[in-house]
Amino acid sequence: MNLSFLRLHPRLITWVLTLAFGTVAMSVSCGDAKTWQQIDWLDVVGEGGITLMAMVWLFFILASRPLGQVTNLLTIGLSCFMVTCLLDVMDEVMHYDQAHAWLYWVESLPAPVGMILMTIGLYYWHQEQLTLKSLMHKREADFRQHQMLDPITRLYRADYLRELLGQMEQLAPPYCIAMVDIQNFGHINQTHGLKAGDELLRSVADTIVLNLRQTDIACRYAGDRFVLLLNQTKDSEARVLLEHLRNAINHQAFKPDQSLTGIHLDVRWKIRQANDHLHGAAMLPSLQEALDNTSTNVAVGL
Amino acid sequence: MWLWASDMANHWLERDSKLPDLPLAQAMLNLAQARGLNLHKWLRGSGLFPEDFGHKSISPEQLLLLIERLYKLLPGQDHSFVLGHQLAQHGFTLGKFALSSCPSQPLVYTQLQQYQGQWHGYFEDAIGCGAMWPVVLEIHLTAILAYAKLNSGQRLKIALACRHDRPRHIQDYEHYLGLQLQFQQPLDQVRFINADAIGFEQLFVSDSAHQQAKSGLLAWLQQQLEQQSDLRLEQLAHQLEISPATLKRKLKQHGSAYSKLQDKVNGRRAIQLLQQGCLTNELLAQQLGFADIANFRRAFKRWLGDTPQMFRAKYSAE
Repeated sequence: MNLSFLRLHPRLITWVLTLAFGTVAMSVSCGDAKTWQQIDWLDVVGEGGITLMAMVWLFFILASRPLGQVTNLLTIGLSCFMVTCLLDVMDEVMHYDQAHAWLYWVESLPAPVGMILMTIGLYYWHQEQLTLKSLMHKREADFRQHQMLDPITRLYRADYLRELLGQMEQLAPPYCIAMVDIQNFGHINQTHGLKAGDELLRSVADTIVLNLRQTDIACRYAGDRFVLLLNQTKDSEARVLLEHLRNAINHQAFKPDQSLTGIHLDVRWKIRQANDHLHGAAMLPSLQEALDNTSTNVAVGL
Repeated sequence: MWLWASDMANHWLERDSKLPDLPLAQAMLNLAQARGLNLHKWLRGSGLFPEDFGHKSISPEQLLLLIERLYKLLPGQDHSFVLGHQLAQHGFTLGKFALSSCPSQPLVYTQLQQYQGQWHGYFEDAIGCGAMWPVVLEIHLTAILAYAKLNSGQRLKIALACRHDRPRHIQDYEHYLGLQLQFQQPLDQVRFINADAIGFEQLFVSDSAHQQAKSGLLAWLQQQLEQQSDLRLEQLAHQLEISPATLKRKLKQHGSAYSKLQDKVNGRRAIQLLQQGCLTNELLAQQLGFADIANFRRAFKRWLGDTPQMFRAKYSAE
């Protein structure tokens, strides 16, 4: 588990811990412990469990979110909820006298405040997700499956694409699939090293995304091959798009390492428009084959 | 190419044999470093440290553990293919030894055969790879194809049949190994389609050095059984100069058993004869040294799980 986000939140962590220990300390100092016979253990287990879960949720919020308003609201809101739960557990084991009876009714106060704060936090979180979604444009369709993201290019992998194509088979709109292959990538990997090769793949992925239209989606297929799903597109239109993309890549000097000598790349591409005979994921092997067959002609001069 | 001249009697390697200079280990280190993997985490439990690479000997057992942990810790499913390319690109001791079980590639036992004018390769676990075998096979095959491409400038086309199920990352198979793929087959087997055009024999076959190389224990035993299929466990143990009980124990350590190896060798021989066009059961039985057809049918079923008839019906598409 990667806990690097936790290091960003020393203040919030202090806040949560102070609140938790403060609550317990206050309850202990104000009341007397019940005898073993007086304690209803079923209640202790039930309410203790809720408290524990609230703490686990707090942990996950702090471990998975960057600094910011949404994180603050969710953390403070949930920690107020936690205080109520804690007081609930404490009054199962503590008995308060007349002077401290106010603790009984105070215990229900933090929860509603916390719920309101969390609701506001969730509203902002919703808006944040919409904003992030627009950043994922051309990289993601209407479903999210983070396990299918390629760690190198940060595009989705082939299995995501296959799932997506499975859905489109039912819709059957006119669409094209293009496969793009970086030329001599093996040679670059060999001369510049694996790390530079990975860096280069990431840059090419970014260039591809930059040159797509709003409705297109790019995926990393295998090795140095990318697949583009071009929605509502005819073969002739796709050709224009791919030529633009190839031009863009040709004119870029990629700098995978720190040096200023850029690497110039060329790509090859193949396009298929879906039809009654060939559509969906079945188009992928045929595109691979088309690219393989041209590579035997080209690669002799390598 | 070095040899263990001191103990030429030991022609085999075991899981815990120490091997200096394992290119696959070096390739994994390169990949782990390039992808920013925490090396200490990766090496945990292997008894190795980052500075050991290139200096300290590594055993096949450690190598397998490193592969397993690499897959566990590094996101992605195509590491085997990247590693195969690395092996070929860096001119590691693969080259002409790619298809033999040389010390640098101690995990795979390869048998090459030429019939009907084509080269065929059969791949077997040489040391007890267990669940890692599909990954090891991927590395091995990718290295062979990448090596051929580097040295001939052309793609070596293969038709691949393997025992394991169709993988989820089929696109990597298609990209690195080609489109002629079959899964859930009785053997791990490759037909080299354009061997002549790329100078296959020169690249992979015409080198005698590999004969001196050591094989993994399972590979070595299979070689003996191929030469003389009725060798008994006691005789094999005698050849290895160990007691039958020790051999049994060693086989168990390597995830195998004498009867398993014998079934494997016989089954492979039967399939090869079938593929070479040996069609009637009588002929097949005769070739494999069976006088009685009923006995042969029973034995065949034990080796391959199907009777000869069922087997033909199932794989006749090949």
